[in-house]
Amino acid sequence: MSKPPERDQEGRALDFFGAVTASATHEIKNELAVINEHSHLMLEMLQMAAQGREPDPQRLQELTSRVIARVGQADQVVKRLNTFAHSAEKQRDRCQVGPALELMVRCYLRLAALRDVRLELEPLAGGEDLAIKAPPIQVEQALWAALQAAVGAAASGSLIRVSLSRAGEAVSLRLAGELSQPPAEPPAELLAPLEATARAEAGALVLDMPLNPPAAA
Amino acid sequence: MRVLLIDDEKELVSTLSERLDLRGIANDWATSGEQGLELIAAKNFDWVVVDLKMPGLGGVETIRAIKQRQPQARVILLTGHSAAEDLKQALEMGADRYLVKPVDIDDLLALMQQGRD
Repeated sequence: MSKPPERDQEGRALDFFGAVTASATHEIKNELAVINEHSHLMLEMLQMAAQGREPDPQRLQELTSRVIARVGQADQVVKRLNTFAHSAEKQRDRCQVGPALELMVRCYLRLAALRDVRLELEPLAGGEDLAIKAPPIQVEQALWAALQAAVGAAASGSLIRVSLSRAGEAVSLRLAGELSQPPAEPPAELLAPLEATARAEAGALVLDMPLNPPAAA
Repeated sequence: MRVLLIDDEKELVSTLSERLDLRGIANDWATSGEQGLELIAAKNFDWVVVDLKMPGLGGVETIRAIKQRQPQARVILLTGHSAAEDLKQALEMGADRYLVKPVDIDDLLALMQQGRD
């Protein structure tokens, strides 16, 4: 069987968009499936009440509350997807790394959970407002690739702590946890435009990204 | 008829179970493939409804294990999206039918009825 051809930069960007949107729509679909069950059960309970069977007000209240909660959760996913879609706008040339990382981690939680891996985002050290002079979509793609590499190497049932810190004129992303194998390095083509470098440390993958990559100057 | 529902989304599986109860259909539910297999070891089921994407033992692996342990049990694969490759693999692994979420309980019951005829 022949090996599929290597994806070029545009192909990888499409893969990235596909992966994020497919996962988000799975999440939305899941929320809708739960809302569907709860609302149909409420309808069936009310139909039985109309036929003289005593409804359980506590159960009805519980189901209504859960519908409201699940609508809220679905709305969060839609907002996240919308934020992500706007990050591809061409005129944007600076990326706030903290919010971008938070967005990518939230988008990746479901995929990590499917591999029985949890992700925990630690607060940004010092609460600094770190911005990389590069299009947000490029930065997000590099962050996503780092998450993929770390989760792919993580032991089942483990936790990966995700942290961001400033290291001189660069920002350093650290994904640390119980890794069952060395993490694969994120593709060089994704790191090159950001002048970013990745390295494996004991139980961690570290991604260093200059705040002002020369390629973007 | 006894039905086993397996889905990692507890709210979905427990509410679907309540709806089957209202229709007088005996059922059990589990929130993982592993938990489902424990129930399979303890009881016989006519139908098992299995979610495709689950942490730990996924839908395809769960179906394979069910078919080894209770070959007579018929399996309905539950999926969020009808991705052709996933469905093909699950049907090859022994799923008898599939349903796309959100579940229409009338469709679910119709599938089970067809299987009995």
